[in-house]
Amino acid sequence: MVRLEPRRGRLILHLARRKFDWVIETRYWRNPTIGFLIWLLLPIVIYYFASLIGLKPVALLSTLISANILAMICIPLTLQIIGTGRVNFGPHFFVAIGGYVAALLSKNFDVHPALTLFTAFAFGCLIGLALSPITIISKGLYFVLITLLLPFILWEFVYWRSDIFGAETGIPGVELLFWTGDLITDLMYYFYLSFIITFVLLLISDRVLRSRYGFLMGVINEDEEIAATYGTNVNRIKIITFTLTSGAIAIAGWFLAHYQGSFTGPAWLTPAFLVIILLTTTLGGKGAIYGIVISSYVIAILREVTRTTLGEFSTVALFTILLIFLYLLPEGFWGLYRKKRYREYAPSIRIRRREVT
Amino acid sequence: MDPTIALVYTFVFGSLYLGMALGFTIIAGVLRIFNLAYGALFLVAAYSVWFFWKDVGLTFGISLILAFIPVAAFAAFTYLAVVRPFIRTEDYMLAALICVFIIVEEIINYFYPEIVGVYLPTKVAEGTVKIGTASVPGQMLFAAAVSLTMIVIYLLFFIKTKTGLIMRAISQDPYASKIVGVNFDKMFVISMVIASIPPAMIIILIAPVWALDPFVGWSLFSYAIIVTVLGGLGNLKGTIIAAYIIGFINATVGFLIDPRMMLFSSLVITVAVLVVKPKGLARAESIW
Amino acid sequence: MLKVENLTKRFGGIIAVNDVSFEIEKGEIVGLIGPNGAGKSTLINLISGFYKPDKGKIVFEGKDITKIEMFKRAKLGIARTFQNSRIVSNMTALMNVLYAIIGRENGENISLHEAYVESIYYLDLFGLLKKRDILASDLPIYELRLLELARALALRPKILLIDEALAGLNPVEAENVSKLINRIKEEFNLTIIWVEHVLKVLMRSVERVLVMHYGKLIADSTPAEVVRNQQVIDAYIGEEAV
Ligand SMILES: Nc1ncnc2c1ncn2[C@@H]1O[C@H](COP(=O)(O)OP(=O)(O)OP(=O)(O)O)[C@@H](O)[C@H]1O
Ligand SMILES: [Mg+2]
Repeated sequence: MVRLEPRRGRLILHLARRKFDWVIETRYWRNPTIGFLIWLLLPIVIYYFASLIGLKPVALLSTLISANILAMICIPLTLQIIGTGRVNFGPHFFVAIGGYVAALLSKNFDVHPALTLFTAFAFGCLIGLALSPITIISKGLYFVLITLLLPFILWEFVYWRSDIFGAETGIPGVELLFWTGDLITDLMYYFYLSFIITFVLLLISDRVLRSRYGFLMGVINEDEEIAATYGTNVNRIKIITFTLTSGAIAIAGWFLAHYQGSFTGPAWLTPAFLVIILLTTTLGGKGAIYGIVISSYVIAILREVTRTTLGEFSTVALFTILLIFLYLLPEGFWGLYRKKRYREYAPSIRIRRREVT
Repeated sequence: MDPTIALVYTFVFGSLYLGMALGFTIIAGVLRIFNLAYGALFLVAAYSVWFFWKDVGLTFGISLILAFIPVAAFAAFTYLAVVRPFIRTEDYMLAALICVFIIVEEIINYFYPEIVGVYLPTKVAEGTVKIGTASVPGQMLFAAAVSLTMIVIYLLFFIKTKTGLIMRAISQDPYASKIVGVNFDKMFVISMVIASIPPAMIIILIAPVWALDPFVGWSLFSYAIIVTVLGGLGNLKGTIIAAYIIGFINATVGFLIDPRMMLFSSLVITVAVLVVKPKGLARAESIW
Repeated sequence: MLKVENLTKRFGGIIAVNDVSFEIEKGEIVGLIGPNGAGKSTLINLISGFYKPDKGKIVFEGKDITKIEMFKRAKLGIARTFQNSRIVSNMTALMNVLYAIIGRENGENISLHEAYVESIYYLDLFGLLKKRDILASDLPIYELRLLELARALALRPKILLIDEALAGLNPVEAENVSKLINRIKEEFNLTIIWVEHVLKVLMRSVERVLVMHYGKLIADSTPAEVVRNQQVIDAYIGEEAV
């Protein structure tokens, strides 16, 4: 006799007279290890699986890579949202900055990718630093608006100086990172590189959020006046956060440029890409950086599936599904798993906050 | 540059931008939200006319009038389906609104891609009009005049009618209005619907001079954003001033420097102003 | 210790604080009273740095702090509570004390663990130890008031500005809180400015009372004298008549 008995936090399988029970209470899992292993082995598993059933693994691998790119953008973005207490609606601006810096340097001056990585990050930080006063001056919707306009400005600029930026044709001839001659091998390399970058970003963000500064960032996210009343130098934390996370977002642009061998700003400066980024961040579960990895995979795979199956109607389908997710999952994907544990601070991201007393 | 040209084009551009931004400002003023799906209204209006005219086979005049039904329905739908459920979680709301915009854009692109060659023969004035040394397309001048008329009508609405008064009260102090027992849902739906008329009018009028394609929404919408933001997010006085400032910038930049820099320079100036005056030119305490 | 000179703050047409000057010595406990809208909270906000004054000077321990930012004033030893208990509701009671400690130490000179231990000490002081892992949004008003005091105390302040610690409490609770305030004053060697509407309790606890009316300081003396001051009586009667 077989009987499945779901209990709170565990699942018991009665098989004749024997009992197997699985703890499904996520609290007892070594979640990070399991997640890491799944993530690490994913492309290999997919590769063999795909070759078993005769599928071409190229599309699958590049989907995984684009998921990693999405996570690369959204992890620093979440950190930024928490540390500045403001929702940035122009993250793709910094992606494009990084991409253009890497592409221009690589194409025009033959700069080594390692150096373009550093320059892209530094330049992203620099622009972030230059723009960081807006995190102090404006808040709420006004901050949303200023950041929303940034990509438009870059877009117009790129079209105006299309002699440099190549407008919609982009900047070709960027040095590729891996060039073995075998596409699958290349993609594997790209996957693991993007994986490493994402993982490092994840680790750093996790460490930061668990630190004393991370805690203060949480307070700023909740109520920056309170933070200042109790001795936190709010402006300093906001500026540092905005600067460094802007640089980190620019790394995604660097990766894109060296992964595609060219960089086309207008392809990334679109509102559609913004929505994808924002939804990845929110569906990840409001400030949960681990949730972002999940949501970027879900969204990237969804995007690929709709693209291959629905053709011209794919964008409509994709955004409709994302919209439905918004309705159904107010806590995001991570919220499905995360139990309410008060000991751990879970940031709540809101745009408009309470005004002065 | 001839000052007449600057003046005439400042007027024409300014009035057009004002018309584009009018509805957006009203929504920002009354609902205190940022309707990022606003750009879709331009598309819904233009393509509804085409749908009724070509696909249903009605006369062009009737199609023009009927087009306002889907526009109003879309505005009400946006409020009921997106704004209201997410009123407390604004990050979701904004993302969802852009989502809706993109969905509309793509649906229209699916049914009427650019090669269909959608056009609206709403040309009222042929050729160009000469004002001093400046020559302006007559249609632009006409659209500018209509947009000015709309402003006047809306101002009268807000000042004279009871509904307008309630809306102003809500924009001034939503909390107090709630206590007084204003039916917020009703007022918000009405605001969304009346705010959807100006963009529809503008797109219908400028369709003959502005290239119409399924992605025209964003470029028009970006002007609406700039003007509204510069004006102070929901203050009509500020919006009027801002519209003519942007009009002036575009007229001078377009004729003096490089037409491709028009939007760029307006954006840069807007962001620069926002950095100095974070709440725009007029603080949005109320709508008027 | 704290000196305020000709402090003025306008909000549009209203002059919320009008040319107020006074001085407070170390170790004093001073009540600040006045009818609704008299400008008491505004005065607290000016001293703690929430608002910038239009005119006047604030001197703390011989140092002009008029233009100093809010977080630096906190570090100098000015702590405050809020009239509407601004506790971060999405955090637990313990976390709400924790950030004051980390903020006080610049986030540098104290480990997270030490800060934990210290916040437990402050929670215990106010009898909130059992509630440490409860979200602040789930705490009743009495405990919120206590938590606010604990949080303010965690800054190790020299002067404590209390804005209505008793509002919304029943008489027994009010009595408890007022006793606690007097106790921490002695134990931590504090100087206190205490804004309160519950005059009965306040008058018993303080040695000196400042009275504000329409932004002006109209009286500054002992509780016994203040209740006999004609201007003060008029101000309060005026309020009741409205
Ligand atoms: N941020 C502000 N903007 C505009 N006016 C303000 C502001 N804060 C206070 N006021 C005005 O300043 C005056 C004094 O307010 P304040 O809050 O200091 O009074 P109060 O003495 O604390 O009153 P209560 O006993 O009700 O707390 C009031 O008329 C109030 O309306
Ligand atoms: Mg007060």
